Amino acid sequence: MERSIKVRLFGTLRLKFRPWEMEVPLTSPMKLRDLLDLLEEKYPGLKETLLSDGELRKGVIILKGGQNVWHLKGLETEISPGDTIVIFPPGAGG
Amino acid sequence: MNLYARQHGLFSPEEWARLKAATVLVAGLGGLGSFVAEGLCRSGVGGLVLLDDDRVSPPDLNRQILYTADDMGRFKAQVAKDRLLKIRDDLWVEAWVQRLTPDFTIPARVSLVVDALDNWESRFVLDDLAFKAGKHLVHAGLKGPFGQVLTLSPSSPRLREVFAGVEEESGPLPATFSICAVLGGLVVEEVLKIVCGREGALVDRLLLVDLTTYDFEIVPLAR
Repeated sequence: MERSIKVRLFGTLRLKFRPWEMEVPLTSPMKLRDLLDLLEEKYPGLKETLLSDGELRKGVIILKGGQNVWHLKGLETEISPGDTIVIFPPGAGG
Repeated sequence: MNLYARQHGLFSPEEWARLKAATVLVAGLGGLGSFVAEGLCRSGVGGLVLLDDDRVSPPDLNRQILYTADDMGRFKAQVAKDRLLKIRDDLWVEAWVQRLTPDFTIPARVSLVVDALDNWESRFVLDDLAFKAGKHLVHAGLKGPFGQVLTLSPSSPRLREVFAGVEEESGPLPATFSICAVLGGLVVEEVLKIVCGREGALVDRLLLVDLTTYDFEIVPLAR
């Protein structure tokens, strides 16, 4: 039985936050909003990067299991043990 | 010896025939599009449609390999066409100096579309057009030493779904020769894979590239 989730940071987030990969103990589901509170302890400043007025800030993508949380329930998306969360600001430049 | 002597044995006769019969639309001829267009030309693709409404300017020369100081002020699509024809005079190539708009029609002879544009709005329009035309879209984007490559098939989630929540950034984004070369090379390889029907393509698989650590990570997308 899975007892943790994986969090992976990519792109320019790597210039501000380390480590880029983290396993977070989790035995029961929690909301993304609560996970970000938890991650703030490990990555001070991450919430300010990802949220604006308590809502998801534009410009950074959060994928849960390969699906953008904007198409799930946003900050209310349920994160379960075994999930992989990928957070990155995609590059628009060409 | 011909131009392709060093590729001999890397493509089966069937694959080579597919490559020669393919026409690729390259949208955007900046840092990424330069490497993609030249790479596809040198690799033997049959035809290219080059789309860009911009002119060559000095800040382009740190990474946009199709252009030189002699080309300042000229339309990129036209310069690109002239250069590619000097490499291969058998290349079928059209230079379209125009902005991408929703009423644009992807020509029927185009087999595959490459998104090498530099803003999300145009990228989403291009993806809509590729979907409507039933073509694969190979997307690449960059910022500084980071970037991503992703291919969407006609049955994939669309680009605006995958990248929901992005926002346009003001001003030119930082871009180096190296990230353009790496991502451009990956896009060329990806186009060859899809055209030849090979396995291992990045359809519904987001490749994230980090040149600060040389990390390459593939994130499978949910359908």
